[in-house]
Amino acid sequence: MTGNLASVHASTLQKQEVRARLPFLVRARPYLILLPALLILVGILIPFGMGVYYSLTTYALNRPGSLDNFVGLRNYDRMIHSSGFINSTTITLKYALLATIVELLLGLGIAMLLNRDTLLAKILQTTLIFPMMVAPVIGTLIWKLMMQPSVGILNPMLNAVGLPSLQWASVPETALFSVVLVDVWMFTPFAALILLAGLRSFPREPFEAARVDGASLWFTFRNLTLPMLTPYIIIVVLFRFMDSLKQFDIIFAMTEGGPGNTLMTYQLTAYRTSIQYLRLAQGLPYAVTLFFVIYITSQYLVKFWGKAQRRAAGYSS
Amino acid sequence: MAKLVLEHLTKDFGNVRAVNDVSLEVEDGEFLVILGPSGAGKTTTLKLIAGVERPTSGMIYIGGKPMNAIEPHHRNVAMAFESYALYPHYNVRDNLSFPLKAPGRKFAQQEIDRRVEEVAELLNIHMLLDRLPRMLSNGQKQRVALGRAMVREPDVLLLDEPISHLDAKLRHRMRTEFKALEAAIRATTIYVTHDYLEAMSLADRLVVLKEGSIQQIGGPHELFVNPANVFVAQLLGHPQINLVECTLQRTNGVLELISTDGAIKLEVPERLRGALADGKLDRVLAGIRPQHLGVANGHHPASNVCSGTVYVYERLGTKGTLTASVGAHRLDVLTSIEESFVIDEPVSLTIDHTQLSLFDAQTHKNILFN
Amino acid sequence: METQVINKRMGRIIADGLMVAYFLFALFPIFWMVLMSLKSTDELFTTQFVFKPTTENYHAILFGDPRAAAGVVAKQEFPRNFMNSVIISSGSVLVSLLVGVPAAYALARYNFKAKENLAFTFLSFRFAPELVVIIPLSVIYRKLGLYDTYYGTIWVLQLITLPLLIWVLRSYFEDISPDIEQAAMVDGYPWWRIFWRILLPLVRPGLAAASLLAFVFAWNTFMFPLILGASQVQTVTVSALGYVSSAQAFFNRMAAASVIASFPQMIVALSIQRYLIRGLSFGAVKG
Repeated sequence: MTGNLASVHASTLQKQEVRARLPFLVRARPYLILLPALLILVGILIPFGMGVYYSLTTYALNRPGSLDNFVGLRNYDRMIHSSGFINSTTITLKYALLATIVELLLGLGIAMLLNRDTLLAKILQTTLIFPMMVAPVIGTLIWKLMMQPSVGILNPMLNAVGLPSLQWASVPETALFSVVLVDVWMFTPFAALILLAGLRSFPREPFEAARVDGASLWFTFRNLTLPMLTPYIIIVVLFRFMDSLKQFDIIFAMTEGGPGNTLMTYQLTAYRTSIQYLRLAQGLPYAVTLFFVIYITSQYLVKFWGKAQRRAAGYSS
Repeated sequence: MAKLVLEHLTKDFGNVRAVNDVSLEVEDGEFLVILGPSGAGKTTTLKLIAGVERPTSGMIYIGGKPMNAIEPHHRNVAMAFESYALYPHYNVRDNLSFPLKAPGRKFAQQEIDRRVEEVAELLNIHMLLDRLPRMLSNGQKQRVALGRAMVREPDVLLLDEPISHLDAKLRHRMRTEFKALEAAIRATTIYVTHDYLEAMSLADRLVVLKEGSIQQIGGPHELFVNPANVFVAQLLGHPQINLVECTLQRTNGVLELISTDGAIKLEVPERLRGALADGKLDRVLAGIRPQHLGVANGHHPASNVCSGTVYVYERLGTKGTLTASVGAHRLDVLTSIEESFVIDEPVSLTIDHTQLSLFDAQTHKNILFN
Repeated sequence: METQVINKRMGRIIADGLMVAYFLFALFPIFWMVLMSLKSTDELFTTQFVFKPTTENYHAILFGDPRAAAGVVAKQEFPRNFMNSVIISSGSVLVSLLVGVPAAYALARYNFKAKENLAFTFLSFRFAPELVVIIPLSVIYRKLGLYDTYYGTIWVLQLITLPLLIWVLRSYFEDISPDIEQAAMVDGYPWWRIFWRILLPLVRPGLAAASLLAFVFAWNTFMFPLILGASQVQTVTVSALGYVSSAQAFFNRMAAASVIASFPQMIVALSIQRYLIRGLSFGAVKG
């Protein structure tokens, strides 16, 4: 048996070792094709890192030499104790929670309505995505126009059904409502599409078995629909909540943060302070803090999503 | 055509060892069958030879040249995948001709067409040449995969369960076709299967693989008659070999095997007495093939006979399988089709003790293989 | 029995009714925008739905309006802004393709320790508050001379287009069985030929759809050109604001500009219906 083997061993052992591995370029291939993406990654991390650094100084563009003044976390401390901080935090959270919850519920309703096999549903589904395709700025401007007292159509429509005119985004009372309305208009299609995909992915058997067993509608919903829908719900929450925490376009286009300070979310505040007032080190803490909140929350949501997916898969086996 | 040598080949996937110290020499032009249950490492071994998986350790030689540093597309190996792996966007003709159009291979278009037609005729897929894979049945896809591997003239041909997804009748026919094809296929061929009938029928030599390790290598008949361990004995043969745990006893100077519940007494055959002489073993598994059991009627010698009751009787075509409860055991017996049995009826069985295989009850190894 | 049929009918009518009600809500603003764009300035403040449609707004923003007052955003700028949007969006998608396709493949096929961390880092670009990168860049770009340039904006837009392409393509690559690539290797093809002749054709529809979606998102972006661009690379999104905050509020012109600026997205939306869900969810939902 070992005839040939012996002759191979007889040749120098070093040659064998060299020929036992692929050439370097072949082994390095996976890393080489990732290289460009890694370069871009670094290219993004550098300004990010600089931004964090700036926030630890007193950098202001209109004050030369301010960059050299390192003050550690003083800006963050000042931010937390500043008068506008609570308002900013409240409005950021309110906006995000309100928008996400409404979009989730409304999206679910629409998904269920579209999940039927009618011609009307199919036709309407193709147009579902339109509000989301319009640039957020432009979409907001349209709504702003519709809310406008002179040319707008919303107030006339309200009046036609006997409701009083609103001042929409011009007054603090209805400002949040106005921007959330635009957000809901724009992004409910996303929730609806994702949840519709979820509803459509359900296997029929568990539901048929439940019906045969005489289960009530609520029971089916709670024990079958909801668990299988959970991964999709988490996706919707992940995208919408994270996006609305940092929403800029809609609020900026509507009121630039006003009236007054009503809608000064974290990013709006960072923009006004850093870009308009040029006080970079004062505005960056808002952006950096928001980043960490979003980063940590999204990590949890992604993990949660993985678990929900595995759990839902159990229902289809 | 070239000689294939595997030397202490090992492949780990994380903590799982898929291939464990496999050493093998396959002669030029030989038709070797690797037999094993799923998860045995058969496919992984093929992929290591093809080069699409890299070994954790060990060497591979084709035609005497070490292959470890050589990428798959330079190895002149052809493979038919169990999952077919057909190119979804190419029709059958393009799938079949794809290997011939590879860079570095200078086949004239005429030659390419000729070979494709030839293989398509051979495998009876010539009417499907313009179809896309998604329009083919499993059996058709499998034949296209096979054709794609055969269309070149590789040094080594690797076939991963090439007929396993065909229905029983088609499989039987393909098996006989393969046997005929064997002469035409001049490449060194490795055929992987979990079906022992294919293995027995097609192999020049047979390798039994379990959980990545080679259990035994040899000719099919040799493995059947002299299995190296319980696993090999159980793998080959249908119905499966009967295994009875026994202790050794000396009665009147005669070495006997007595089953643990006492229901079965067997004489130890001549050829095995030597291996038991040192007395180190006292518990063995006696392997009795169903064809070496018979139904007794009339004359009853004291040993090599046992009695029990009928459990189940199946008539399958030309042979019948009687399953009898003897003591705590269920024994399968091959009988002629003319017999008839009633469930729970008492029955006596004769055992041809000369055909016994004995295995160490702990290590499960054949006592002749120590 | 009859009541059951009637109930079902009623249920269906109510469901249809609710559905239509939502879609009126969803599509009305777009419809109204188109309407506005066809109103002449004289009729702008008078009636709502009954008016004489005119194309003067489109004409004005595309070819210039001699009646434009000083201080108003020059209408001839619109074609230029449109081209800027085209250049910047296509440019950033192109760069993301060149960089992202190989990266997506590597993430789909190869296993290495930091893989999921790396993948999540790319994802985090999408969720991160943009200002955390834009504010420092507004300083850096000025120093490097990248402020208000195509290159600068295309580079920054990678924050938006790259994560989308990498994640969606990764999901499409994962859909292809590795056996197919292995078969091609054994058949005699080196890796780059396999990529070109087998892998790319198989992911082509998904690739096209993801690219179009990325194009739309790049086009719709506002913050980046707002802060890192000025007059040279002004995009349609930034210029849209200009119509409203000017001395004379040419709402109808703005509507016309918005209609033209939204046109490509609608085409894209209609053509990639099949791939929308996978694209929008970054590959998480296969729909």
